[in-house]
Amino acid sequence: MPSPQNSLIHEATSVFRLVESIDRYVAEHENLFAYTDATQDFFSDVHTGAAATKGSVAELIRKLSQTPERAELRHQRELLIHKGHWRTLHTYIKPATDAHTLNLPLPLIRMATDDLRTTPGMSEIAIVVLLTPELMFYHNMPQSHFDSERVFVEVPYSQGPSFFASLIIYHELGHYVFEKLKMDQASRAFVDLADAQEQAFAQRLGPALPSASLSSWAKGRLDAWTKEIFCDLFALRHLGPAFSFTLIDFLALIGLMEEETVSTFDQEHPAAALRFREQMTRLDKDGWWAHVSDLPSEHVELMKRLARKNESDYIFEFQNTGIPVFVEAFLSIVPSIHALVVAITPHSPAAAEDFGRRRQEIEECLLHGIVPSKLLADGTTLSPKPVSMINAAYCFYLTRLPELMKKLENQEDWNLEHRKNWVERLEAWTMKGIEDAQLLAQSADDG
Amino acid sequence: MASEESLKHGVFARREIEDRLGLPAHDPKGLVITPLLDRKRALDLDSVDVRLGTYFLLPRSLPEAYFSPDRNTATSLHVKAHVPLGQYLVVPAHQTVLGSTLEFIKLPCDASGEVLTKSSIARTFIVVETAPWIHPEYRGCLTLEIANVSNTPVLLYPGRPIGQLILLHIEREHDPNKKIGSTYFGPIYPEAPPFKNPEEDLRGLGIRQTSVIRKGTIDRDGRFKLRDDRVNRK
Repeated sequence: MPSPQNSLIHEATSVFRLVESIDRYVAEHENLFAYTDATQDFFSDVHTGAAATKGSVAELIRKLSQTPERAELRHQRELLIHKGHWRTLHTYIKPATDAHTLNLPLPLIRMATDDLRTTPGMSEIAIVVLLTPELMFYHNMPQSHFDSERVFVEVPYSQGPSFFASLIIYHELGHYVFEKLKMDQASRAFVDLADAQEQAFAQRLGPALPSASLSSWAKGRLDAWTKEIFCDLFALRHLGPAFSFTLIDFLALIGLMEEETVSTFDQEHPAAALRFREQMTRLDKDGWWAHVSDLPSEHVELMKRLARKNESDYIFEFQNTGIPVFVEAFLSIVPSIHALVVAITPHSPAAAEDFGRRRQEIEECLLHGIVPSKLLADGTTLSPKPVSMINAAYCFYLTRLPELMKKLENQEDWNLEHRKNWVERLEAWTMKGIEDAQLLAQSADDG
Repeated sequence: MASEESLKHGVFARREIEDRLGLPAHDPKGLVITPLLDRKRALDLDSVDVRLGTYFLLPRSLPEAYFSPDRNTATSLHVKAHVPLGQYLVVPAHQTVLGSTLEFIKLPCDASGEVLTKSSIARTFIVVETAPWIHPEYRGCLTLEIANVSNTPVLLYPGRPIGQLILLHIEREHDPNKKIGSTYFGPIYPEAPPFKNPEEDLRGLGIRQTSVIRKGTIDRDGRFKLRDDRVNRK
């Protein structure tokens, strides 16, 4: 019969081995690839944690060898806690090591980090990107023993290098911001939003719900929808219409979605028609819409069409029965979501104005295959804002790619391989433009 | 009497470089160099310093005993690497890596360019070599072949000046209707050369049969099976 001491040593060795193999795996990848500062810090913490766990486990066994009769349940528990922690960490390591800088739109991650840090109370936040096998973007909210100043964002591995698709990251950052605001309860606008939710529930839904579990479920729907609209608008305030365009592409809404589907709320998401209506409203108020509303693009037409949908067409069904009162309750919350987003994001109209002034020249640069990081205005050179470059590049992508291809030898705009190449190059020019702007700003800061 | 314009020949001087930088980016005679960091020092009397970029193509150890320049070169010969600013790349003794300039460059329609190794760099036995000529209207980050010809490994720091761009006048007008070659149009990273398969290049010379090495295996019955039909060039 194995002694309790032997069982503990066996288990401790297993924990030690798990920790060491994770630690080594990370070190091997650090030698092969470069990572963002945030990921590098995460890995440093993994190394520190690994050394601490191995030391703690070894110490536990050393003490036990001196007093073998004291192999107690608490020692087993200690090992189980270590193992549980490293099992959780294990699931983050591979996606984080896959997200090296060759697999990421690096300037976008830097820009997103800077933008996120403008949110009140989040000046130290860092973004760790995880490449996931799922074809979805997620905000990954780790358990409490992780550093709360670290945002984990999951990006589909196939989309990592794609700049335009990766703009969706901003929506996922919105999830983090929402959860953090909820946790801190320090924002007046967030408290107002929570009140609006409570009121909508109490006045329109509460009386009709017979049980506590149904009430809790109903509150959950309102909360999930609130969060989605918040995340859309949060992304929009930082990115302008480029976010709406990329969301349309990501959800494959162009020509593929049926009329009824766009009006239907599911348990987690409000109807696409409402999401885009609110985005259009926000873009209009922030001064962006006037600059893109005449863009000859299906994306803009789709947004207009979705925004025109009647509220009475919105559908939310539960067990095959429509419950319009849910939609009505939610619509009463929407203005408070706008108010919250406006309260915590920088003044977007300045960005819209810069875009309006620079768009044409940025597009001209792109049409000539030139990175648009230095423009000429009134006899002096200036750098457009990165968000202006992103939006002008997206407009160019939607409307002028064939024009660029016509200027080049042996390139046909109907040839998908050719077209893919030029989309990739357009994305590369945009990223280079952002990177240049970041470098120029940094060198100016350093005098 | 010849106009001032037609008298221009030889190397661009600083003033003309600055004039051209002041033209709109898409002006055919405009010069673009971005980001132009530390502009005062970067512009010399007759050249512009260019810095080392952060992306590299390193030579790969091939599984075969040979390298055949063909359509597979883009993925077979190099390994991509990113070295962020603040870090360094070690170039082993007698090895060459492909890097690129940090600056994106667009040449005017009436200028050719040349990249020379900065003299301070050359004196450390690092040579930016072999294909330094840049055609008029080229645009992109310049791919640099960086050879360490010394007997010791050398560290390269992205962001540091590595070369000098010299511009030379040529008599040439911009033709707005002429299509631009797409092969090296606007690269941001160092790029592998886009070879055709050899028989495609040689067909133009009337060569109908080309010897190639075929990659494959001999099965149990002694029959040859192609492992990768991309190299079947019949």
